[in-house]
Amino acid sequence: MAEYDLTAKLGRYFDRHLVFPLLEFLTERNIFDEKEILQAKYDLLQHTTMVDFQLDIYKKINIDGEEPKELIQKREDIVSRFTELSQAVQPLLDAVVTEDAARHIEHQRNSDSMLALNFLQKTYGIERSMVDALYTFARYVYDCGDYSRAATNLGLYRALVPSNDKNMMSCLWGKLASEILMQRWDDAYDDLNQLKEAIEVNSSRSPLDLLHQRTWFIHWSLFVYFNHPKGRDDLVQLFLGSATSSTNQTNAYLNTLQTASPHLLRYLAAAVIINPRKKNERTLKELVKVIQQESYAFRDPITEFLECLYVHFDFDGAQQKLRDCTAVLNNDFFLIGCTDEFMENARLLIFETFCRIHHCITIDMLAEKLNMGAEEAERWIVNLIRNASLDARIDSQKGIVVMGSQALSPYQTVIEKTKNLFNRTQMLAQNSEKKRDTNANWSNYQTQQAQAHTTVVPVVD
Amino acid sequence: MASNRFFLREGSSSSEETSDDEQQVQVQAAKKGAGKGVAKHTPKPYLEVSEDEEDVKRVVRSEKEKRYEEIEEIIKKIKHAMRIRDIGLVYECYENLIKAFDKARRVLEKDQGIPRPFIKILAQMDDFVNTCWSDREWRETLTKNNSNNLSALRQKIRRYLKQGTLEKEINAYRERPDVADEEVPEREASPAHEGSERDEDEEDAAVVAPAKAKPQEDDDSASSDESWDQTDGESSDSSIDIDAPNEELYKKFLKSDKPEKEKSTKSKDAASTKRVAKQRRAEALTEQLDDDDDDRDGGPRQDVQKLVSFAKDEEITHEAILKKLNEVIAMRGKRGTNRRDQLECLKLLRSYAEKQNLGVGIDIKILLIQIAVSFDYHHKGNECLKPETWTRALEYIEELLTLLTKHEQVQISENISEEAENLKKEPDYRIHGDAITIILKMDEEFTKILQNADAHSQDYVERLKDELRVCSIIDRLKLYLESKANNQVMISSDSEAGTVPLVQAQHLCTAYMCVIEHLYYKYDKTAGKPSVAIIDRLCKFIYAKDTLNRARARASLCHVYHFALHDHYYEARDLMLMCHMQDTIATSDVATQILYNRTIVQLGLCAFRFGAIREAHQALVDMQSGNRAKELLAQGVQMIRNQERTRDQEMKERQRLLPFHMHINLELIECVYLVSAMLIEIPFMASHEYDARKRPISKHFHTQMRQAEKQPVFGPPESMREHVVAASRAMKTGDWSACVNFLINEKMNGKVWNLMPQANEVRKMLIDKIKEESLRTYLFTYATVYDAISMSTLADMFELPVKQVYGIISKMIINEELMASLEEPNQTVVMHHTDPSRTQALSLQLVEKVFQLYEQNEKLVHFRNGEPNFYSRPNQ
Repeated sequence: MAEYDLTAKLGRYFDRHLVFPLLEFLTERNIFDEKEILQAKYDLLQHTTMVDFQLDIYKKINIDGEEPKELIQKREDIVSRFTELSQAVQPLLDAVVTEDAARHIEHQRNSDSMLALNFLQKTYGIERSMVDALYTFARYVYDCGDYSRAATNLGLYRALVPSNDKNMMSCLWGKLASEILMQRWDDAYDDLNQLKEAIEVNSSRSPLDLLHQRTWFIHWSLFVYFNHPKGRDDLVQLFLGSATSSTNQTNAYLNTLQTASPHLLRYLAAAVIINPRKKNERTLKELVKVIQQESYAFRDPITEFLECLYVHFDFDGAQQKLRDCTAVLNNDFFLIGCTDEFMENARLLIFETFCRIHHCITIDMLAEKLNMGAEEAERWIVNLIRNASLDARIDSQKGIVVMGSQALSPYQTVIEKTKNLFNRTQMLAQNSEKKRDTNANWSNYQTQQAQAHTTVVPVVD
Repeated sequence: MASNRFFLREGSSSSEETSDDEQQVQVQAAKKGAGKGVAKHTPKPYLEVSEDEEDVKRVVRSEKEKRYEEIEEIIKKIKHAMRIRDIGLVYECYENLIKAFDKARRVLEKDQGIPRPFIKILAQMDDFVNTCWSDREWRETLTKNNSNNLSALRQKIRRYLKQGTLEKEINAYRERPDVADEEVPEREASPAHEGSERDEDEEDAAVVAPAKAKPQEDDDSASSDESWDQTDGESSDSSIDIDAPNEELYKKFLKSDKPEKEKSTKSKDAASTKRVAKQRRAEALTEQLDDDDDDRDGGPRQDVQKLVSFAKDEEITHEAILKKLNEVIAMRGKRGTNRRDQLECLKLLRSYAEKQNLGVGIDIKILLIQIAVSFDYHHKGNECLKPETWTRALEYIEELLTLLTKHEQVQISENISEEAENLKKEPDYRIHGDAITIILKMDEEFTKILQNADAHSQDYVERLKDELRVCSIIDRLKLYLESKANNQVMISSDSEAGTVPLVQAQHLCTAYMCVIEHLYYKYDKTAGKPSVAIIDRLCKFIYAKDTLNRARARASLCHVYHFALHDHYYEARDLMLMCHMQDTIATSDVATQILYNRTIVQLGLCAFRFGAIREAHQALVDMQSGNRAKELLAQGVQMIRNQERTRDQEMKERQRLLPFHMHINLELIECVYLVSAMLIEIPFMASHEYDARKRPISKHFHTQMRQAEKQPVFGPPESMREHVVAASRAMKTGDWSACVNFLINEKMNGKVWNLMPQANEVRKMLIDKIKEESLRTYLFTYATVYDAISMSTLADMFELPVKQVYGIISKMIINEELMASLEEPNQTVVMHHTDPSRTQALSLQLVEKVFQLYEQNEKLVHFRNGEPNFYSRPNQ
């Protein structure tokens, strides 16, 4: 299954710390050599300050090796640096916990001023440089793997500095990463939205920079979107949102996906498939278009499944792809949670499309297409019919499903339309009548005026 | 082409050199000429020229005689008319004469000049008119008509005589009227030429009549001139400098009449310049028409020769050579300098330098000047270099590059000022100059040469052979610059900036761009298509390093073009979308716009080959609508009716034209477009038969169809368009095999399909598409007739696999184009027959209309109230 693994591609756009969960997951799935993954982890840690973790892994790699000297040394350095930094910010942290300050900070969330900072400066003698030190400290703590402290500190930092601070973006990114790593999805969800706003608001960015920011954003958002209950909806909205509204302007994030990271199509496709169908008839069409456009840049069973189903109408192919999909989903960090949901919805998609095209279908064939037994398929269809999501009957003697005819005769359409029309016209007429009445006084006045005027004219003549 | 070029030149140069009055005459003459066929005077697209030339060859003998006879006839008449002082007749005959002469001009050019009788009669008429004019008494007796004629005639003759060459001839004639009578035109050379010419310039304002009294003076001044010439060329130059204002000088400079000059110079300094003269004579034939500035007079040339020769005992050092060199350079661009002589001098200087072993520095320095001089050999705006000059220039450039690559220590840059040059010392030569500019200039000249050659002649092929050389030169330059850049050679510039790299990124960009411009339109036949990778590398470098937006834009367009040419459809498309050229193209320069158009067309063709019919159609539709493809692609000047263009505009357009070998076949474009339109439009038409708001997708296609329908009888198709129309007809009835036969056959293969590199795949793709669209058309058209139809039958009919038929029909059902559904157990399509009958369709239309009416009403009400939200919308 290694061919469909996206970790290498995704990893490029993640923070180091965010890659750990992915690697952890890969170790579990056993598709790659364990040694290699460990080595990768070790290399990854080389640039962080999580020495203990690194030592652990080192021991796993070289089981009977000594602890390397430089790591021990590194640890000592880190500890000393840590104390140094924490001392620098201690006054600030002490000050903030006081009730007064907390109130001020809370207050400032609503107004964009330097009030809180001024207050702190006055009462506790907190310098601006100390706030900057707070940022450095938070960053360091994050590097050490203490995400919860990092998140708190970054939150505090954000509250204290104005929104155009030069570290603001990093702060937002850091906060998001910390929340993700602590798996606090609700907070992460909020952070994500704030981050998105911040990216879009700042217009002074160069297009290239903007592209980078967006690419990172859509990658990081995967963590949140596939873990937060509202996430998948938002994911679809993010990429195909503006496409469904009538505006002609192209979606910036969809653009980013197409330019920089077509491999994310997998997640988009999965999200669209899983999402309730009724709502996003058009998103599906849009998605299929994008998949076709990018088919040379990225294809995997999931996109191919949609392509088979909606471009070639090759149901056998679709079913084949669906089988492949299971394997892909089970080995994907983000998608593993929704495999069953995906399969169910995909099956429904096939069935629905099939029904729209066909007049009558044998159950055996349907069962084969849907990748289930005949009995099971029949039960499934019966359920669908019962839930009124399908207008069909089963002829169990012949073993076929007969669809109800859905076509409207022109006669009917004409009637439908005109009936509607009649009502609307009447409403219109009534309304204008009403309008005329309300304006009657005014118009009467006007006509009187006009008459008065005309009566004057002859006199002048 | 020669004659054509002559006219071209005369038109443009004379307008520079003549005063306003004269220009009018010119225009008149041109108009007269136009009556008989614009072809002779205006430059034409290559296509027709060849025919024209043939024509001339065939009739040349008889035409010449005919013209002469004609002229003589008229002359006789004029003489008679003058004798009886019939002004009206003279006037009429004069007009005829000028017309006849204009006609005869081309023939006469071959005979080197204006026939003597013509000159004579002009002079006589001039005298006659002047005497008439001065005879007041007689004039008063004239009728009003005649008096008008007289004044008109007088004006016209005066103007006509002032035309460059004629003026001299007339004056020459007037000097020696008796002798010349029997002489053949060529032999009439008079030594007094120079003077007389000058003379006339001075007296532009004066009446011509008194000129008759002047010859004596002229002769004098001329002879004195000559004597100066012999002693000291430069002083003669200066003397001329003094006695006329600048503008006049310029005129004189342009004017020429070679044959005579040649003779006179030869007689004058036969011995000393024998070598040169010999060479000149050899080239004289070819250069007769163009080299008007080549030889002002023989005097200076000789002196130039002297100028560079060293005295025997003089020591030849760097300084000495440089001094001489500077003298030569100083002459450059001055009036009266002979470029050929300059080249000669430079050659001599180089040989001296070489003999004395003065090193490469000085060698390169001289070489640079040699190249520069050979490029402005023919310095007139739109003139191209002659083949000889061109090859010589190429040789020089090659030599320069060899020297530069061989001697690595030589630094050449425009950042080195002339003062900071170092031509002597071994370690590092520093020379002012810029190799890239030279190469660019060369490229430009090459384009000019190709533009001026007839694209369908052997000549063009000969010229085109130089493309290889040009490319190799550019390649060598590229390599040279790259090696310099890689070694990070620095030069200390004389400004305060300190050291700068000898080759900056911008330089490399320019050089790369040059390579790209020569590469992008060529299809690489070798396996692996290395050129794609090369272009890719060069373009990426430019994207990264270039600071001028123009080069970047052009590079990306070329990049796309090359991708498209080699069937990298996705890459080409994505790059095109990513570079956002569409937004800026309207404001960029014309050359880039042309490149943009070419790229779009190529992308369209690529899309077609790829099978993306819709995209192909979309890309090509702009090109085909309005019938201006030729102009938009700069592959020819379109003659638009009711739209006069000034000469200037036309020249500009002509300069933009691409050399023939870069053209994209127009018929291919149109064919691809029409076929794409057919594949989209025919099923569309079939499915929307009753649709009220049906809009044509392709207007051009519809025009073609309509035109074909006007024909009373349908013959077998001949042209490409007829083939497509016939195919469309066949497709309308779902007859795919007929459609295929119309599109893919011997004729169409030759005309269109074989022009594509992968013709076979394209044909296969096309057949598949035709089958598919025919099936769709068939279903749309005949769905009402069927109740049910088996899919296997359909598959047999259209020779498609059942699976594909299944897919196509499914798609139609899903898109609600076809009211039907499939019956899975027995593999049939069941029609629902909800397709409206005629009445139903009409009533549906009516409903639509009523709906529109309602909407309009609603809008109106809202508008009247001025409060859009006053009513809550019903049903919403």
